[in-house]
Amino acid sequence: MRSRRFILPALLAAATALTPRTMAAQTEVGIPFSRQDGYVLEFAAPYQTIRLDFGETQLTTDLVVEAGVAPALEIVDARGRPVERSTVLPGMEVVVAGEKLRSGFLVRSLRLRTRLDDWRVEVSGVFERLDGTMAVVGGQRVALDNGAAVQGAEQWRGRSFRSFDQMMLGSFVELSGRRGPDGLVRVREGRTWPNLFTETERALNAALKQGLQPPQQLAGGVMRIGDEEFRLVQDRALQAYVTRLGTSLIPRWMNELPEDDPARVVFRFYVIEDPAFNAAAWPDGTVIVHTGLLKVVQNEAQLAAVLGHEIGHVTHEHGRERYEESRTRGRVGSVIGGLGRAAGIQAPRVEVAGEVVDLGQVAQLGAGALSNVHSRGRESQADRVGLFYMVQAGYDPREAAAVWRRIAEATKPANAIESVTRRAEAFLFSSHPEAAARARSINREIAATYAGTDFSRLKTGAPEYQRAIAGLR
Amino acid sequence: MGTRNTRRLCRLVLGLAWMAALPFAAPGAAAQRAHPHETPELPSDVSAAEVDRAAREAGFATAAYPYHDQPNACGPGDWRFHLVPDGPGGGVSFTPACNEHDYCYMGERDRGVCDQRLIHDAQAICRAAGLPSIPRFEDQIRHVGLTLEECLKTATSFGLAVDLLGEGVYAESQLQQRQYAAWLKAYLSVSALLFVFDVSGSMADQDRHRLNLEAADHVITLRMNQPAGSPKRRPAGVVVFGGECSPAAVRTITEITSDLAAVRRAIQTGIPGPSGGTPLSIARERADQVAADFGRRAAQTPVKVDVVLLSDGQDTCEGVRPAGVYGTAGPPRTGQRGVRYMTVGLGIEPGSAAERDLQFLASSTGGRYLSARSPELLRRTFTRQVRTYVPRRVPSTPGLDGSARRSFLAGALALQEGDFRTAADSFAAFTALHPGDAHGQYNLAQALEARDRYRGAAAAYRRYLATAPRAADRAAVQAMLSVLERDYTDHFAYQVELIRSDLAYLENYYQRLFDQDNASLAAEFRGFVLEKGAFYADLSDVLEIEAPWVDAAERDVGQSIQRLARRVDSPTFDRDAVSLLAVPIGHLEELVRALSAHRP
Repeated sequence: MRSRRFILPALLAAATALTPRTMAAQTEVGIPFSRQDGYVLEFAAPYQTIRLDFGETQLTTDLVVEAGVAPALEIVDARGRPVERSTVLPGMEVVVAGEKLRSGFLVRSLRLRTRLDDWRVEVSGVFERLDGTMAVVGGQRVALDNGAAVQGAEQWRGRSFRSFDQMMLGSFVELSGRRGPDGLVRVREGRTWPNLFTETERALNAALKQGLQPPQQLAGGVMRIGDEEFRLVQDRALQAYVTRLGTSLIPRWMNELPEDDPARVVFRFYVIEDPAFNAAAWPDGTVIVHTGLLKVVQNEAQLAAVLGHEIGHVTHEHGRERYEESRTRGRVGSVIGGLGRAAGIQAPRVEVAGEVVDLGQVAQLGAGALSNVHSRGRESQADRVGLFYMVQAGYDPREAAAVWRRIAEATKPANAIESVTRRAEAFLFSSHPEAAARARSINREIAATYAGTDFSRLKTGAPEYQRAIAGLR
Repeated sequence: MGTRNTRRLCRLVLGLAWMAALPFAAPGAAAQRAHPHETPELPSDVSAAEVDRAAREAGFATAAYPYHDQPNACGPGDWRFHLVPDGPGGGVSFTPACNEHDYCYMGERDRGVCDQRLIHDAQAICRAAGLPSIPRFEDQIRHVGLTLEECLKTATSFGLAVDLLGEGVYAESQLQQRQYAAWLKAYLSVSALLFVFDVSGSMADQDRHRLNLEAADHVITLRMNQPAGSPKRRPAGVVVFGGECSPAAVRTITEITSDLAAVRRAIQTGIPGPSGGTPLSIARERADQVAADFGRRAAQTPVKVDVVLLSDGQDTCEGVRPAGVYGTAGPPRTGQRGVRYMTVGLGIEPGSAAERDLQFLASSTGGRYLSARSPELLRRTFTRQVRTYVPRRVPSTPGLDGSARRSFLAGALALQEGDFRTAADSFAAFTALHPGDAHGQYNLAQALEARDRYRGAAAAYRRYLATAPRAADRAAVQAMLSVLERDYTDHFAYQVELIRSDLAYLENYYQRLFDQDNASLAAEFRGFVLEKGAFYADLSDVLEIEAPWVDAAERDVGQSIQRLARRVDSPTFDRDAVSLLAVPIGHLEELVRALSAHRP
């Protein structure tokens, strides 16, 4: 008995000693590296490994690396002063140096580029969730600093809100504050204004219904939007799958609007027969996903990221913004619109609610989320909001970055010979560096906003997804 | 003098107490609706004595004064009764005037007329009492005993008090009277029965034909067992159909006749064996004609005929439903021509075209459709089709307050009038407040049974037995419990099939979205929602399952169907449906899966 009691610990100790410690192989010869624009994705006690977004290097095909940490890891702030390991937070920008060993990466030094004492963040978007004193605005978690107030604008001019529970869910908010170590943005000041159903929106929604030919609008499964035609996939199970997934992502505040509220968007999701990697959304809640996208996407969480992004464009009224800009600056979607013109398609013009609307413009309002037709700011906002929607629905947000890595991969010059990606490039104007940058910015967003989230509890839904799209293969 | 003033003070206090004791309840919705119902005239073939007996059996005191034991002198009729004086004292009682006032409330359209009459009657009592007239107040004070002037003043104050405060009592009295009138109407209008039997070839299967006739025989025997002079012994007739699409395929075996023994003989020996097709539409024409002939021959009008029509297949001739009618015919046109179709589908597929024909026949005539999934269930199905629900009239708990009694009466009235949903809601609310009231539980059970809520009905009958352990009908109710268990199992299986058929229908509809025109698709979906919306909105109630997954299905299916229903007028309906309809279909698939795994 006595001897046995000592045998087990002894065996354990021996096993521990014998376990190969990859990162401790000091004598091995490695390839030194240094990256100026790394992002910390995960770095937590006991600080033996770090997940980093490296960007593209010649050292790895992946944007994200899981690196070992040298025992003598040196961390300094922007001014070169040494700081504690615990001050390094997900989402921070770092200059990272170390070496690539045969077994993996080893980080020897980190220099923080993000200012520790003043990590300023601007937040804008729709106030979508209230959770105690914490709110979610534009996909970011925010809380009011003590004494801070949000000023009312437009119809709320002259009002001042001292807590989020005084404010209206679904309204527009712009805030500025500082990000804390928990990812929460502490708001110093901001403004908010009501989300009204404007004349422009009414005109746009009416225009989207123009050009339909009664009695049968859905001639043989062809859906017309503006001057464009989309061929629906006549597969109810697939259609249902995409619709239900999309429906599960719609934010609660939208679902809780009264059914007769004009601001309530009834989202309708469609699978379109088209080999291009694309998805799009129109202000009336029509969201399309191409079969070309479904074939490239690997799991439910990735599709949720795409749909969430599209829903974000609608809830944040990017279509209306673009339309309004087009009236001051000239044309909507001039680039894509130009394609249609080049092909000799003359878009009919209709009068809606006293305004002459170019159906070609209307069609282009939905032009791909992934197409960079929206400004970079709107795209990032839709990305952030989409992340929020997918996490709310229980999906692992890291898969959103994976979508862009897939595109980056597909648009690499070496891979561009595939016909699908050639079309993708033509349609999306999504160059390889842009795709990579989007993936990185999503990674950074996840690290900052979802710090402390146990991603293992969130689903990716690969088997369900593969079952659902089996018919497309 | 001291004694006189004390007595006067007492009268004042008693008067105030009386006023306070009157119910203050605001008139409820039922009271707003309340209007006197004429008591129907007795038809020539129904004896007054029999009606009187039946009325007593049903819980009324007598047929002439149904609430003879209810007029309660001058009080509001509950524990406060004892606080209320019956008059100004001095040996003068207003009781006869108060009782007349109570009766007046039952029948009078204008409450003020009754209240004025009370003053008039009470003052007449004063005048007839030979009281000394002492007009001057100073003299009155010196007088010992009641004076005519004091008596008249008290009479006026009774009338004014009633006028001010009698609203609740009036409402209750009106309800009581309406209940009696409704009971009598229902009692007298027990309808002639016309059996219409399907004798098409398919009825030869599984003993269907024999069990069908046995079930009809059972119903006729029940009628024959009613006492002589009872309207429940009303006439019956028999029509059969089966064969080609010609009038020859439909035969009148017995015209509607009071000779129930002859009807019974015809059912036992005179029905031809099954063969040929199912000329349902021709049979319907014939049934209407037989009912009309009976109406012409009958002494009194209008006649009511319940056509109990059984079929096991789809019409093989020109069809029963007009084009574009899904199954039911919108709000039922009750009472039209007095002919109701009580249809029974024997072993036909839930949701099938055959079933929709029978549903249409029933709903377009104010009747009811029931599905008998196997021939063994026919007897029970027939009994359910001809069953009348007789509520207990008053609460079993003594001393309930006015508003509780009124809510009970309103529920009993609804049950009597066949508004089973209102009745079930009323008694559910009533028994929640008064769970120990046996009559409340009994009425709740009946209302639930009538609404096909068998599990809830059984539970309420059990509570009835627990609260009234010595009830005379204990054995009958106990026997009923096992019948209801079986009913529930059958009904549940039927509902599951129905949901499956809806799913199959919607899946087919979905395919048609791609090649049918928008307007007809929208109209069809509107019809579907009109008929099925209520069913899915009530799903957990219909299935009588309390489980989160049923609640979720009720919410998800209901909301997703409604979301699309709101877009039926949109020019983009068909394309909207491609996306939006996929959701309820998915929810229905899940529901069917869960129901298949569920063991009731």
